[in-house]
Amino acid sequence: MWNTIIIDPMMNLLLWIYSILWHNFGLAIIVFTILIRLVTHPLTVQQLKGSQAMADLQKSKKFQELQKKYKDDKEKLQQETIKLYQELGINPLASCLPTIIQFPIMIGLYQAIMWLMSVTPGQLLNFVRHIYPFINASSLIPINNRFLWMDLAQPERVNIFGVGIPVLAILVVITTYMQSKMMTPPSTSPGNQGAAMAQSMTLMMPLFMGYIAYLYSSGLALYFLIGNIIYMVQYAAMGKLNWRAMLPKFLLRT
Amino acid sequence: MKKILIPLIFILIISTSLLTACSGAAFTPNGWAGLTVDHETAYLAYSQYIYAINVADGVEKWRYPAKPDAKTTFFSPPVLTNDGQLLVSSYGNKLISLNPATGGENWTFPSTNHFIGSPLVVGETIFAPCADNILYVIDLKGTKLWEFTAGGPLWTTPITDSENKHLFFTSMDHKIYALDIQTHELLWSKDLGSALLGTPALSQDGILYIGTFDKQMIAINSQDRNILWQSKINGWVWAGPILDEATLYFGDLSGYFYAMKTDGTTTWSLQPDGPITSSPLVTEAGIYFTTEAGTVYAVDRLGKPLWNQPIKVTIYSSPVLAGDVILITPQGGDSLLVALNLNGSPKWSYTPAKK
Repeated sequence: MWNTIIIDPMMNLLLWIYSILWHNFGLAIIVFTILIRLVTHPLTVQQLKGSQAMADLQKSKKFQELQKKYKDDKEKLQQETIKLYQELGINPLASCLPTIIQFPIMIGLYQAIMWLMSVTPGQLLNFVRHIYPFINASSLIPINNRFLWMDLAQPERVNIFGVGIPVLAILVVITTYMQSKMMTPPSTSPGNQGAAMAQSMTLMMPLFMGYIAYLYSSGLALYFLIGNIIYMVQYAAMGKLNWRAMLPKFLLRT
Repeated sequence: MKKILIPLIFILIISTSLLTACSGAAFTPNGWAGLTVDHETAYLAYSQYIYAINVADGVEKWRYPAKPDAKTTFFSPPVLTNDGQLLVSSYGNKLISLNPATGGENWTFPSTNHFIGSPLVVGETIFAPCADNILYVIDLKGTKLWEFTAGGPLWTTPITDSENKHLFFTSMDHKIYALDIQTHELLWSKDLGSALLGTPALSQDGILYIGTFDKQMIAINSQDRNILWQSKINGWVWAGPILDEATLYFGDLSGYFYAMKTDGTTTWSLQPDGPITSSPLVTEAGIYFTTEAGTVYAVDRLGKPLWNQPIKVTIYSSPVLAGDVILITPQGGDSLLVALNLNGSPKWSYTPAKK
C-alpha cells in the first residue's frame, strides 16, 4: 500500500525526470522538489496566511487582554483563546499541514532514492520490480549517483584538511532556520506558552532537519535545501519576505 | 523548554526509525546467499556471516566473523584457491581471505567501495571486481599487482579463455570488457545498451554469450567484439547462462527458463512459478534451477519436468551439487541451507544457532 501510493509514483517520477534530464540525478531531484512545491503551493499559501493571521491575532488588543486576564488560569486562557480563534475564523492547525505533509514525502523520497541508487543486488531487484512499464529503464540503470561533489546515495561531506564537513547539512540548518523564522510570528507576549513553543520550534526544527541531512543520503539533503529555497521564493512572491525577521537576534544587535 | 524537547526527541526517534526501518537495506543490507563446496564442506556466505557446514549432515563447523559487523555483509559465493584459502567479497569494502579449515582470517584487501561479486582465481592471481569500478588484480598474499578501471560498478565474476590469456567481464556501465592478462591492456570493450549483471559464458571456439537487462541473449566474438546474433526473450536476464553441449540454459525475471541453441534459436522454454535470478546447475542427470518463489525444478535436456520441490522461501541463488546432494540456499526463513537428494527429496537442512 505504502509502496503503491507513495514510493512507486515518486520513484517513477524521479526516474522519468532523470531520463529526460541528461541522466543527471541531482537535477532530477531539484526538478522533483520544484514539482512537489508547485503541487503543495495552495497549502503553502494557506500556511502563510494562517501564520500571518496568528501574528495579527497576537498583536491584537483583545488577545493581550485575555493573556493578562487569565494569566493565572491556564485552562481558562486556553478555552478563551480557542473561542477567539473561532470568532476570527483562524485555524491554528492550518499552518502545520504543509509541514505534516512533508513527512510522508520525506520518508518516501528517501526510500525512492535508496531504491534508485541500488547499491546492493537486493535493492536493484526491488527497484526493477517497481518500474512502470512505460519507462524504458533497462538503458537507465545504473542511475548516475554523482552530482557536483556529492554521491547522492551517501551522506555528504566535504573533506577540508582531513575533516569531513557536512556542508549540505549546514545549509539545510541555515535555510530551515530562515524558513521557520518566516513561519513563526514574533511573540508579543513573553508569557504566552504557545508563542514560547513556536519560538523553540524555530530552533529545534533546523537542528532536526540538519540531523536528518547529516545522517542520510545527500539526495534527501538536496531535497530539503531546494525545498527551503523554493519556500522562501514563494514567500517573497507573496510580498512577505522580511530579511530582518529571518536573522537571529544576536545578528540584529550588532 | 523541557516540555517541547521531549516530544521533539520523540519525533526525531520516530522519523529516523521510519527512514531506516522502511528502507533498512540502506544501512544493513540483507545479503544475497552465495555457496561453494569442497569435498566435505559447504561454505555459505549470507548476510553478515560465512558459515562452514558439513555436507554429510548439515552440522556447522565454524562461522566468521565471531561478532557480526553491520558493515560486513556478503552477496556472493566464497571462492576456494588451490593453495588453501577461502576468499570472500565483503560489502564492507574489503576482500577477505580465510582459512577454510578454521575460519581464521589470513588477510584482507581494502578498497574504496563494496565488493559485491566473487573474485576469479587464475593460478596465483586473484581478479576481484569492485563497485568502485575497479577490477583489482591481487596475488595470493593480498598484495595488489595491478588494476583496471571500468566505466561503471563491477558486480560480477570475470571469466578467462581456456588458455588464461584473456579476461572478460561485464560492468554496470552496459559494457563487456576484454583484457590481456599478460600485458594488462584493454583489448576491447563493447557497449550492449543496458546493464549487464551475469557472468558471460564462453565457448571453446571463443564466443561469449551474455544476457542483458534489455531482454536479450547476445553472442559476441571474443576476438573482435562483433555481435554474432541477438535473440529477444521475455524478460530481463539477471544471471549468466550456462553453456553445455552447444545449448545455453538460463532464466529471466519474467519467470521463464530457456534452452537456447548457440545460434540463438530457442529450443524450448518453460514457465515455472516465479522469476529466476540465478544460473542453473547443469549435470548429466538433468538441469536444476531455482525460482524466487522458492521452488527447485529439475528438468531433462528436452525440457521435460523430472521433479520440483517447493522450499517455500525466497531463493535468489544457484543450486550447487555436492556429491550426491543438491544444496539450495533459501533466504528469509529459518533454514539457510537445504540439501536435497538427486530425486528432489529433502535430506537435511541447516538452521544456524543463535549466538
